[in-house]
Amino acid sequence: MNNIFIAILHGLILGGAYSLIAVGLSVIFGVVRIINFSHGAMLMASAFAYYELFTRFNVDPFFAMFFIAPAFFIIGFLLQKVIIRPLLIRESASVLEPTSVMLFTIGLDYAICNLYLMIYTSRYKTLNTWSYKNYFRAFDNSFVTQYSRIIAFILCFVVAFGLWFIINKTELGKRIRAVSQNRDAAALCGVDVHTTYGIAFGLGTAALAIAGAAMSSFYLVSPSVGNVFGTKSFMIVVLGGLGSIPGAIVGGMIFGLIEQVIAQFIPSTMASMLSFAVFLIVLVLMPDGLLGSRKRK
Amino acid sequence: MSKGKVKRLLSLGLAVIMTASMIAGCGNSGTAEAPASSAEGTEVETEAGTEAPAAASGDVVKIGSLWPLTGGSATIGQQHADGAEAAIKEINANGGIKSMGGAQIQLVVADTETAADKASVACERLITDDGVSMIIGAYNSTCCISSSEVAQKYSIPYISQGGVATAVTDRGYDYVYRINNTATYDVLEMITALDTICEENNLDTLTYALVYENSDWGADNARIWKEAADERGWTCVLDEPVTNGQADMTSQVLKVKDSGADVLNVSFYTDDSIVFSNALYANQVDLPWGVWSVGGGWQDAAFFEALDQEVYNYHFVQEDWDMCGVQNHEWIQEVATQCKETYGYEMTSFFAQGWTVAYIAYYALEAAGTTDAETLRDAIKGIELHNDGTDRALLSGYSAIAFDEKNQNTFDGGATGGTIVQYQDGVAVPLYPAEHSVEGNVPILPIPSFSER
Repeated sequence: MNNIFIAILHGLILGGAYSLIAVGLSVIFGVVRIINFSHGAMLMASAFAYYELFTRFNVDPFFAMFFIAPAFFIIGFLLQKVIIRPLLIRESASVLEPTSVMLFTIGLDYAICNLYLMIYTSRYKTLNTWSYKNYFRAFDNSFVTQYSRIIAFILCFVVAFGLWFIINKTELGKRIRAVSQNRDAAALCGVDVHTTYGIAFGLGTAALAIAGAAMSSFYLVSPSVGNVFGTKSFMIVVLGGLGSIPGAIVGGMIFGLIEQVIAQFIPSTMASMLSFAVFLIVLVLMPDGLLGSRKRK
Repeated sequence: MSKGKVKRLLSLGLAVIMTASMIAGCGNSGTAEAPASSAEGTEVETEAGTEAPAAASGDVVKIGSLWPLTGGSATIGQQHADGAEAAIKEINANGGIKSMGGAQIQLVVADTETAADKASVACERLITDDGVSMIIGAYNSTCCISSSEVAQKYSIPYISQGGVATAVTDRGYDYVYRINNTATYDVLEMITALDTICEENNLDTLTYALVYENSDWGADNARIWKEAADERGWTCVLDEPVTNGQADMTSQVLKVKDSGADVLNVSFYTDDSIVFSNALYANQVDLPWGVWSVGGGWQDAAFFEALDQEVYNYHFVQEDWDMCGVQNHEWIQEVATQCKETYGYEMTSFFAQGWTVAYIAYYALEAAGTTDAETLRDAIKGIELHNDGTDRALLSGYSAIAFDEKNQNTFDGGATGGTIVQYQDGVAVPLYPAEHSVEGNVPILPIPSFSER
C-alpha cells in the first residue's frame, strides 16, 4: 500500500485528536471571548481523573467520560461564575477585551500544573486500557493504529456536532449566540449574560474532558502533558477561525496532515516548522482564520 | 453572610490555593538534604526550606543539585536527584566533610525544566540567592552547556553529569568538569558491539537508519554514529531529526519501514521514546540487526512501566553503567535495595550517576578543606580514582576518574562503565563489552521478524 495514502490516513486520525482537544477552546473563545490559557492544564487534570478511575476501579476512560465530562462542566461553570465573572464585570467598564481574565487563566495554568506535579510527581504514566493496547489494522496491515485514536477521531465529530447542535438548534444556543454577538444587547433583552457565559465555559470544559479521555488512552499522562497539546490547540483554533467549531476541525486536520504527510517528503523537524509557517501565513492573509471570516460575512 | 461575600471569600480562597501551589510546585530550590547536626554538635536547622548558615561558616556546605525535574526529562532528572540525595545522606551520616571539621553537606535542589534557558536562570539563582559552593547537574546536554556557562561566569565549580555533547568541556572553561563519558564513547560502544556482531555473523556491511531528537545530544549521537559507520563502509538509508514532544511518531516510523534498514539507531528522552517504540511495534517494523538506543528514555524506569515487554523486546540499549555491578558487589546490592525501599524503583544508571557525581563533589570538598572556589576547582582537577570495586563513589562503574586538560574524565583509558544490553523476555541481558557481561549471555540475532514471533 502506498505510503502517502497511509500517511494521509494517519494524518486524519491525528488531526481528529487535535480537533477534539481544540474544539472546547474554540467554544469558550467564541462565546465568552476569553482565550483560556489553562486549556492544556485542564486537559491534564481530566487525564489524571481518568488515570485515578482506571487504576483504582478499572474504569475505562471512554466509559468514565460520562461522569467526568459532567463534572468538568460543573467545574467550568463554577470557575466562570465565581472567579471570571467578577473580573469581567470589573473590566467591562474600561476595556472591550478581558485582559485580566486572560492573565488569570495563565496563572491558573501554572497553578494547576504545579499542584499536579506536587501530587503525582513528574513520572510518566500510561493507561494500559484495551483501546491503548489493541490496534486497528486495515489494508493488509499497512494501516495500523491504536483503537483509542480511532475512537478519538469519531469522538471529534460527535462532540463537534453536539456542540454545534446545542449552539445552533436549541433555545439555550440562541441565548449563547445572542451573548456572543453582543452581550450588552442580549442583557437588555433579558438574557442572563453571566449564567450563559458559565454554561458556555462549562460546555467547553466538558468537551475538553471528553478529549482527555481520548488523549489519556493513546498518549501519556503527566503534569506536563498539557504543553504538548496546549500550544497546538491555540494554533489550531486561530488557524480554523476563533470561535468556529468547523474551523477547529479543519485546523486540526491541517495540522495532522502536515505532520504526517509532508513529513514523508521532508525531515520531521521541517514539517513541524511548516505547520507553524502555514499558521503564520493564514494569520497574515486571513486574520479571522480559515472559517472565521466566512462566518462573519 | 451575603452571597457576594461568599463569592469573594471563595475567590480569595482559590487565589491563595493557586499561589501556594505555584510556590510549592515550582520547586526552584528546595533543600533536599538537611543535616541533623554538625560533627561538633552544632545544631543546624533541619526543616526543608529553612535558611541554613552560609557555607563559609564551616557547619554546612551547600551544593547546587540542578536537574530536569519537570518537562520531557523529568523522570530521568528525578532519579539523578534521588541518587545525589542518597549519597549525601550517607556522607553526612558518616561524619560529613572531615577536613572541614565534619561540616555537613546540604543539597539545594533546582529544576532546569528540561530547558536550556531555564537551566541557566536556575543555576544563577543557586549561585546568587542560595550561595552554593559548587554545582552538580544537569543531565540534558543543552542544560549542561547553558548552566555551566553561568557557573563559569561566576567562577563556581561545576561538575557536569549526564550531558554528553562535546561542547560541555570543549569551551576551555576552567571551572567546568565532566565525569561521564561524551557522546563519542556512548556511540562507539554500540558501534564496537556491532563490529563484533558483524564478525560473528559474517556480515560485510550494514544499512542503518538514524532517528533522533533534534537537540545537542541527539545530533551529536547521530553525527558520531555516521562518522564511525562511514569508516566501516555502512550505508545510511535514513537520517531523520525529530522535534521533541511529539504526539505521534507514525510518520517517522513509516520512513524507517520504507528505508529497509538493517539497524536503527535512536536517541530520545522518555516521552518520545515511549511514543516512538509504540509506533514501531504497532507498525511491525522489522529490523534484523536491531534497534540500538543510546540510552535516554530506554534507561528510564518509566519507559518500562509504560510499555508491554513485547514492545521493547530485542532492543539494544547502551546503559551508562556497569549492569553487573549489582550482582558482583555486595555494597552495590545494598545501595540498590536502599534505592528500592526509599524511592520505590529498581536502581537505574541515572540514580547511580547522581550518586557518583555527589560523591565526587564531596571528595573535592574533602581535598580542598575549604569552599574557596579556586581551591575547590583545583581540588576537582586533582581527583584521581581507580575502580577496584570498593570505592563507593564509583557506583556507576566507571573504571577511573581522572581529568584531561579539558576537564573531561578520561577513565584513565579504561572502560567508561557502559554496558550494551539486549532486552530478552522483558529482561536486560548484559552483552558487551565482555567484562560487563555474564557467561552464557548471547544476543538474539538476527531478530525474528514480526510474522515469526
